[in-house]
Amino acid sequence: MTKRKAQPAATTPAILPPEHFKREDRLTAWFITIAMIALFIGGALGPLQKLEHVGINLYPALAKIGIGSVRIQSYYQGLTAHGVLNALVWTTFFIVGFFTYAIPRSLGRPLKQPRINLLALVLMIVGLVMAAIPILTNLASVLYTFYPPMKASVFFYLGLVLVVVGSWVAGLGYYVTYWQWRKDNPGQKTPFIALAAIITMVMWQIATLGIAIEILVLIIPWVLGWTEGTDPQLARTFFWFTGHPLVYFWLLPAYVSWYAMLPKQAGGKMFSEQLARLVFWLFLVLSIPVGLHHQFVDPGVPAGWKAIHAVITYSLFLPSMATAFTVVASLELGARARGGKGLLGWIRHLPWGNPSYTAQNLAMILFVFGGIGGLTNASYNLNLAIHNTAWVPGHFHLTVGSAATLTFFGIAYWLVPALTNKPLASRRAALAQAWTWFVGMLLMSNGLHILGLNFGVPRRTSLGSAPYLDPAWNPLQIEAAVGGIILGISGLLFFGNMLATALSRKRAEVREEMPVAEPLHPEYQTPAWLDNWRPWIVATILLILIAYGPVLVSMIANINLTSPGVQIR
Amino acid sequence: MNEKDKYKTPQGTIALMVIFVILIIALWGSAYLTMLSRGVTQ
Repeated sequence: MTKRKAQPAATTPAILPPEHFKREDRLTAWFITIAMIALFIGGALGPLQKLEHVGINLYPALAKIGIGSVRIQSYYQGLTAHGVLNALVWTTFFIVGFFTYAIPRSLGRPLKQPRINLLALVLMIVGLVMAAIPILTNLASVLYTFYPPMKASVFFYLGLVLVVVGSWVAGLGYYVTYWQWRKDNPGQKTPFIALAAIITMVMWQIATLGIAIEILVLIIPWVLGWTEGTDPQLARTFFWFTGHPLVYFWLLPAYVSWYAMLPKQAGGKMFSEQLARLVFWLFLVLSIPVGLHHQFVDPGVPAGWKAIHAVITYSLFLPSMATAFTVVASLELGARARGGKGLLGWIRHLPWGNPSYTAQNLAMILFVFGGIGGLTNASYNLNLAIHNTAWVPGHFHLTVGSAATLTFFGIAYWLVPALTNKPLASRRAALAQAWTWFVGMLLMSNGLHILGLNFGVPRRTSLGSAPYLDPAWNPLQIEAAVGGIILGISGLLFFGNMLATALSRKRAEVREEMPVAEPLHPEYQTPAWLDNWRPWIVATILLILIAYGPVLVSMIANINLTSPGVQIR
Repeated sequence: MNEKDKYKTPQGTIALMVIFVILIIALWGSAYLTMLSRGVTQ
């Protein structure tokens, strides 16, 4: 890569008209439609878990509904479908769809090789079907973390591999387009949305090497009987190599929207584009070598390495706080431009009547609590108190279920009208959806957090049939169940609105376009090192080698392929 | 947006960040005290 000088930040180029992006739009429509179908099925199973916890077990009734052996027969099967479809399928398909729409527009050119991205779509669909069939036929009730020695049908693992490989291929399609853009624009700084999205994909590709090795080397040979057993400790370590950066794979696309789209919707500008770029590079470097903080209680991981990962995890606080400051400052600019006054009075002047904006702002507020919970999880002694308790789902419903999902709902409120060239069917219903999600999530996550912290209530357990169920848990269980039901209603509002928009015969008076915020200071130069991949990629690989190298070498040298496995039905 | 507003310090954001930091300390501290009261460390 040639050394380039700092370039003044040009004002955001006008996005090419939609006719230039027909293929990209078709691909995006496929990705986000599949994402929404996955969320609909996975989300519908969510409230059932909370109802089971308060003694209303609907699984026997659900088991009577189905075709052949395709039916949900148990709490654990339902929980697996909920986790895989929501945390893995909904997110990955939506993110790839969103980037397929946003990257070409940000670069001002269509995908160079759209067939690569079409191949990505096909691989991801085939993978999804391969993984979904064992889940729906109760042959893969291993939850979304699929920890060995729990064993699923081999097709479940192969399906997951294909979904991940498909997302890599989608990334390749973006890189090819980006390389061509750089060739054609020597010395130009990469437009922010494209840069941030491509950094996210690169981080994802490096991070998912862990899960790829886990499945291909440790799990599939074991499931096929080529090895007598597997090594759960090593498998968990590879899983969390991917598992924590997975959280940032969910969050960074939301950050792309918060940094570069939401300020435009609020009437503002990006407060500091340079800081935004730095934040994304820091997430690339820091978000992978942190997985051992998920393994604080694992006896096979040396304490010193857990401490190193804890320190790197805490270092993520820096780009996270920078994000909080920059995004809120951008929104404050917008609100003041709309007439907002006073220290906090400007908040009322934010566009609360716009459901796309409101959903994303509420997602940020919920994420405040998700972030604080994350700091708790990363604290060694506190982690011992809340590990494997209801606190954990309480926490990650504030990250993937709120910061990411509610933001994706907000994005969908402009993206689906943009794709269909139709107005959103009901802005009122969309606003109600955002607020009900906010209230439902507050109730559910509050209940779950306190159940875990104060009572040590175990997570992902069929509590309704647990002999140790304590009546003292009831008020919080009910709070969580009420929250879960409100979330279910909110989900129905979202799907109804999306379906009504897609099926509507109305045409938009003005076609919705991707909102792109301009930098507040276009005259400021972007330093060349904030647009140069080499130092950041080198730093990422070095930090991974330092933080994971010795511990993985030791584990692999002492590998124990002795765990025979167990199938959960 | 006039030039004066454009370069104004985002005071509301700073106030919200202060509230955020106080929330972090309060909620993390509350979780820590709950852990101690449960005798988890003994």
